[in-house]
Amino acid sequence: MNHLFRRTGTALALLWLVCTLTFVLVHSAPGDAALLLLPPEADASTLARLRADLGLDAPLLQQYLRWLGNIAQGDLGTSLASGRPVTEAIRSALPVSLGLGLASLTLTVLCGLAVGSAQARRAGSRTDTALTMLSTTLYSAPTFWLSLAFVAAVTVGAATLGIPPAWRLPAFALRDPGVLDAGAAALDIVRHAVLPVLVLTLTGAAGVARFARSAIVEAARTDYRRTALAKGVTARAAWYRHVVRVALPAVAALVALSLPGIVAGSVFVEGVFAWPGMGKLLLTAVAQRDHPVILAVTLLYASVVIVTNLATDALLPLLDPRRTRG
Amino acid sequence: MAQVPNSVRVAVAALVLLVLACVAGPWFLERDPTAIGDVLSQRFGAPFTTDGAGAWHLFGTDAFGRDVLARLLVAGRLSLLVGVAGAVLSGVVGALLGALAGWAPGVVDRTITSSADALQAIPRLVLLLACAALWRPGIPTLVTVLALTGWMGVARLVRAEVQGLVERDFVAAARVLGASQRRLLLRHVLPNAIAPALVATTLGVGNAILLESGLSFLGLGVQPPAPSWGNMIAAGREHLVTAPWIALAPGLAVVITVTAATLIGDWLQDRAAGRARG
Repeated sequence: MNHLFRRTGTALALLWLVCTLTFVLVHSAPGDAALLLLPPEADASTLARLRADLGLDAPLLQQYLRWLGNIAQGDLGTSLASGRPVTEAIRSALPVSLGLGLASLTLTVLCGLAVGSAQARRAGSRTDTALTMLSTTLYSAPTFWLSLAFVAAVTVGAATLGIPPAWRLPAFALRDPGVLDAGAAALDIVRHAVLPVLVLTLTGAAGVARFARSAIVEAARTDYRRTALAKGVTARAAWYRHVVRVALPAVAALVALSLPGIVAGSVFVEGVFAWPGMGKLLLTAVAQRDHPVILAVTLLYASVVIVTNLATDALLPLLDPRRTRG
Repeated sequence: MAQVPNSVRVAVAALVLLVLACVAGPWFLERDPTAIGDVLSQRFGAPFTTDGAGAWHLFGTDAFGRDVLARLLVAGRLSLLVGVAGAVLSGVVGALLGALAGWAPGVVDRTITSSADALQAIPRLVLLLACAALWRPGIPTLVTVLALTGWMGVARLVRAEVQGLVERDFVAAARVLGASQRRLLLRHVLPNAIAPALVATTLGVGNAILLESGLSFLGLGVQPPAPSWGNMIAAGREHLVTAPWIALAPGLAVVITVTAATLIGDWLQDRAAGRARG
């Protein structure tokens, strides 16, 4: 319990550090919000007035403390592009990303583990080599390019093979909520989610399979497995209880560690398939140089990663059969 | 060299061929990869066809009638350069900061380690996008930002190595002989701690090339008309069905390069791990 307490403290300190770092990052860049908001021909007095309105004329330390105080109260500022609170934009984007992320993360872990352990079982065989090549290639392919390839394939497939063309389009129920009733909207979203989830699962599962394979092969070399076999435990039981089970915590830790990567993949997938989630929000903000939104999304992503790491830290010992609680 | 697996041999061969083609290829091209000629008669030429002006194109032509192969090779120079420079620079920064953190416990170590923790908590692509949006896009920005967001892993590895080495007898012996702090660190400790950093840097090259292509795809990396694999894919996006070769060629180039770099990096890592195990 004491340990968990200390870890939470560290996580909070880390979050504060991320806040500070992003603040420094934004303020080390050339130009400020006033320059971005006004047309280039604006005169100096207009510029000065806007700076005063936005609080940009205050000393940097004061700006930093005010900004930090606002964040602590849940106020992430106002979007420069739309003039609406950033929290509003995040509230509508977050569920979309979470749904997409959780669906593909579940499939990623299941497929990755299945393929990885099957490979480890037949380590060195031809199937193993072929699957390693496949997973390395998928792992190395740019997510956006893979997405485009699927879009092209479905477009051609829709014309010749009767694949539903809806697959490559964004969900209408997400773009115009309230037009369809709840049941039809859910069906619409699921139908349009096929390709994004497929791309995210393929690239994610490739990474998990690569790691699961090496973790399980490593665990299969251990002496206690040999001892178990010598004592007469069946090969099957030894495999699952002494090898796969032991490698599982390492794989779980990897999934937590690879979360930033999964997030990154979803930025491109949301961009290509026009899903109105956090990734799309970030891309739009980057294109418009909308600092408050960029800052807020960065902070949110960082807190998701920090919280997941904390949770993994707390839960991992429960998964590890070699460790007993005491 | 007998135990080198075939996949690694193929990867090395592919990478060498690709780099040679990109470095030397453009010298043998008679066509300027950015010049636009008679667009209407030359655009959207399929691979292995002759265009309206009588020129033959191995990989076809793009929406402006430019030869895809010529652009692919010139783009490869930029993409490989940015990828390698980004990975090497982050490796160097990581090795130096990691060595410093391992060498000087206390405030220096805590500052470096917690900055690394904080930077690692932000997904790298998100950090890259934020930086790319704040500064003017271009190749110097791209390399700087890649180094700024990629040094943490190497720093962690080198820090652990240095912490282990500081305790060793040969370092104590050199210290007794009167070697200065700088000489101790640069001459006796760092060279022994560098192997894991080299492996991590090799693995980082593929990642940096992927990120570069992603940023250029979004218009935040290499700026047109200069070709890069990422912005070529972006240009082919409008013509996926009618002229798929425009996006296919640069995409395959990225996949081949990154796969080869990953296979080689994995093999180096396995070898290093095997040596440590004994």
